[in-house]
Amino acid sequence: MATDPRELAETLAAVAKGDVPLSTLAGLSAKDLANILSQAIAQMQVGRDAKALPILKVLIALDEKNPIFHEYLGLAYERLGQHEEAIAAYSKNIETLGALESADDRLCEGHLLRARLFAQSGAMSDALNDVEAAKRHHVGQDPELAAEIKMLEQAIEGARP
Amino acid sequence: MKGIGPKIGSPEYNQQIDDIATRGARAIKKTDEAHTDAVMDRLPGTASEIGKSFHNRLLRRSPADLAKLIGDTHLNTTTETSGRVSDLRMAINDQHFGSLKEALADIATAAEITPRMFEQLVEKLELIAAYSQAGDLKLVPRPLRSVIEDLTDGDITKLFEATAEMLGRYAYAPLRKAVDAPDG
Repeated sequence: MATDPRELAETLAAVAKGDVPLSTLAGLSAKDLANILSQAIAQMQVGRDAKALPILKVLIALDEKNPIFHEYLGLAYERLGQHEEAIAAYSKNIETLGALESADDRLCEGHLLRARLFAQSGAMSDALNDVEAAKRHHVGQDPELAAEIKMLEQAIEGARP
Repeated sequence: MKGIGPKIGSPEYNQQIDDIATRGARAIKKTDEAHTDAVMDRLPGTASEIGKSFHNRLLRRSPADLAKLIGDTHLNTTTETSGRVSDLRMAINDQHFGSLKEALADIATAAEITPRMFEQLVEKLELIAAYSQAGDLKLVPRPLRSVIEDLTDGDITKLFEATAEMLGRYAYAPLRKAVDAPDG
């Protein structure tokens, strides 16, 4: 081996601690992970959301700090009507995105996804907080996100007694 | 003027203000419940549109878009660490555990790595194995549970060794094969 066994052991320890994603040790590139994620999305596109769940859980096992896998897990749960699990996954998406630089539009999107579920669950103050957070993070020029913010804000405000 | 209400400042007016405040306070207390009812009446249609748009937005991402989004956080390790990971992978694939074994035992103490941490790692591998066995990727690794049970005798060296072996045998190779030649 080219490297000191002690250094290799430290690396293995880093994987065990979660400092290095398992996907790295498994030799999987971002493109490889995207291919696996595409399989999950393909299942969701034809309405087989339950079949997407194990794939998404595997991706999280491979790289639990990557927000996108939590985002899709939340989406799958939401489409299956499991809102509590969906909110937990969306929250993890927001939490992991928070560790990134230049994630504003993705944070905006993440807050909007969760806001709508909060609203549907009746947690209106949480929903409004998420809409406000979405507005703060909407620094880009994405008209689709702007429209979603406006639509959701109006829906929540319009639903006030 | 009839119909306007009591004169501002009158006792009737003040009473009306108090009543409104009381109702308001009660309404605020019941905000979530009241909003829930109202939202269920008014929001679903709009929410459905929002949801449809959002879901489509996520589901129409191309593999290239996904790779870019994943890449924003993936492989977020130093070059030095990446090099070590590469060497470690090579060692695992070559089944060179001899020199690694002693180092692992020392590191386990120094780095405060607990058997539980490695059990968690093995749990992740099990998940991957379960996914494989579901048939989606046509992979049939040998059941890991029996291997883990054999290793729960408190000997951390064995646990490290087995974990390294399983990483190579059950995570790296099958996943690599699956990604290179996805089935279905």
